[in-house]
Amino acid sequence: MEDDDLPPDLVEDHPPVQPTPKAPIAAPNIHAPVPVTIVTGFLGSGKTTLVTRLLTDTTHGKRIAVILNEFGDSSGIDKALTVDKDGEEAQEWLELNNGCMCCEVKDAGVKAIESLMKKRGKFDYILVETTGLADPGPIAEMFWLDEAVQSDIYLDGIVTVVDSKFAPLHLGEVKEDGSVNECVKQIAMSDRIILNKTDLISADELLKLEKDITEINSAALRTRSVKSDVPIDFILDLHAFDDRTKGWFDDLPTLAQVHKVDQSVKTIMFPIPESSIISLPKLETWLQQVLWTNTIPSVSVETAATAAVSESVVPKPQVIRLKALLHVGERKKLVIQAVHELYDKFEAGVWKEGEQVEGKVVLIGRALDRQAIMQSFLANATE
Amino acid sequence: MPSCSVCSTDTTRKCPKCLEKGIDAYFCEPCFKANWATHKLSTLLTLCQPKEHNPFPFHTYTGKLRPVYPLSPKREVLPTIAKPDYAETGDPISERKLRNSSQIDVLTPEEILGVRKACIIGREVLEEAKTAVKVGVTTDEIDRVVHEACMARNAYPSPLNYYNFPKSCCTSVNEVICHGIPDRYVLQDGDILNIDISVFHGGYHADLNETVYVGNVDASGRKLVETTREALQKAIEFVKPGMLYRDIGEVIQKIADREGLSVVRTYCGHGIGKYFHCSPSIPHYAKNKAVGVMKPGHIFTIEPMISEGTWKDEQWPDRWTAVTADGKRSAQFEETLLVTEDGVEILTRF
Repeated sequence: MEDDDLPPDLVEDHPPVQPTPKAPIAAPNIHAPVPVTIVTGFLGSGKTTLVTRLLTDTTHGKRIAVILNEFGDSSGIDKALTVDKDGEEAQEWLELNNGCMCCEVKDAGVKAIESLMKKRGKFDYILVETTGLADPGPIAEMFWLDEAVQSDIYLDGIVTVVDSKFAPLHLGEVKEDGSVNECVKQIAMSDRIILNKTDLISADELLKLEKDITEINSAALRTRSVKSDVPIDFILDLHAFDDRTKGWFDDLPTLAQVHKVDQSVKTIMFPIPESSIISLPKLETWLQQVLWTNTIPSVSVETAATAAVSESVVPKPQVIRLKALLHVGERKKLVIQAVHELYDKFEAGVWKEGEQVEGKVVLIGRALDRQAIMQSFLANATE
Repeated sequence: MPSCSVCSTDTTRKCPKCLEKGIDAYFCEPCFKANWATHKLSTLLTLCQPKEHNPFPFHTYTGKLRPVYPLSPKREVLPTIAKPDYAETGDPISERKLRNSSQIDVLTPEEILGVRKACIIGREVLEEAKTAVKVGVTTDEIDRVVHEACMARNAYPSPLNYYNFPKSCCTSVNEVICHGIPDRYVLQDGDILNIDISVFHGGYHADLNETVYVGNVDASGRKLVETTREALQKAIEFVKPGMLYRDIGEVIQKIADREGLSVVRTYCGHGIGKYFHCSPSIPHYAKNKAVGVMKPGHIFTIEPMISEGTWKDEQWPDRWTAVTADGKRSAQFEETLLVTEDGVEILTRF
């Protein structure tokens, strides 16, 4: 029997030794934030095929991380899938910090990705794959951070994969509360649209679908594909949320602009006459009224009166995306980017001598009356 | 090297019985032998009680401050006090549901009265907490004063269990920017200490904070604190209907720049009322994309955090404490504000 009256021998218990820090996987370059592309599309559209293709493609030489946003909102960003250059796959759960997120500038998802990069070394590219029914709007807003925050990541663009066979069904869906359905939202929000699985429909059906999609978003570049096989530079490094925006202003089809102003989502575009120079303060006031209050500033007092009368019948305009290339004087270019209520402005160089000064405004949204918006813009935002 | 629980000489040895029980205490041979009888009996508890320690010994701290654990046990809330939805679960589910909304509530006169009452209580609690501040007092003692002041006023201390925050207020010393957890840290002469008070009373939250001097603070520390106080004051004077929330940051940044100080960019002011944190979000730095125009009936906080060195911050492994990335000091002031018909009212001042 043990004798409890005698003290036992003490035993050694060395405290754990601090591990020597491992060399970082990649030398972090603080000057090069990593682009984030949001990939949306309904279940079965080929979104995952696209993402897997990018992950396993060895030709681009990029170290890509895929973040799965399984619940379709920012709090659901929870898993990261990465494949290194040597093809080694790794999956890990992102550590979501449960701090009081509401008084923090950065969303928990952004912080989780930043800390993942600290731990695993920098990636060259980040893809955020959303759930099928996700509205990419709030996810885009979360990644579109103020430059002042100097995040390790920046929002590059939104890519939507469309299931050509089932999209016509989803596009026409009517939501009970009258809001825009998710399929239309995804198309309206995107910078690039991939019409996938085109082998499953007839040529006529494809043309009809393209027409329907163009009516919603004629500013995004489109491509047709089978099994999500699209060139990588079609979807990555778009700079769709800064001054280097590719696509949008280059190739805008001249639309049959006379359309009924109704609840459907459409793209409208209008040019700014060369003689009109934008006043920055007036432009900001105009943008704030349109984006924050869903009203179009009136052209004059008289039209304001008529507008008040017809207000009950005309639905409120709702902007989903807005881009503008504007002349602010002395041939200086200003680019405006907006998603829902958020907007930002970027100085974008000058029109060179000999180049035509050519401003334009593109809006995608609901109940947008091109004529009224154009007049309002020219009357209220110019010097 | 760990040290003996009794005499503090270096030792790496432990009592085998303690080890079995998972009790973390080191002893040197002589003390252990001399104290065996008592150690075995009633003093086993006292001797083996966890010592004050740094819970993250291998974390690379940016400054001199360390967390001093163990934290005191969770303070109890009187059963008669109305609690917010997260009090039991730690999950503020009602405000989390509103996260994607940038809609700014215009409060009704009744609602404003409710927030007003909470704000007066918040101010009283902060004033009481400030009287407890002196050299030699622990931040946990400040927390006790705050908690009891809340209980005496029939108010729930909003931070308690908000996303599992363990204490009833935030105490942020020197390089801590915000969200410091009250612990056994003993306030030193020359420290600057921010006490952040939030209370929930009658269904409404109030939020305010101040940075105070502990003993004699050096000139640069005083300049930091006074500049931050001025930045908040100037930002408040900017508030009136029609002004843009995004421009508050310009006012604050200008004052910080003037003094060669920096504005923390990670944490922002926020709407408050029925929820602890809601729209609008108010960054304190210039050139932000914040959405919204001020309207009568909006209630929100402005709470600039200004740092001596870099604006960049990091977080301790406790997942709360925000510290400056260079370990230099940071100060903060906060009030809860109401936009009136022609200007602003500071609800958290008498």
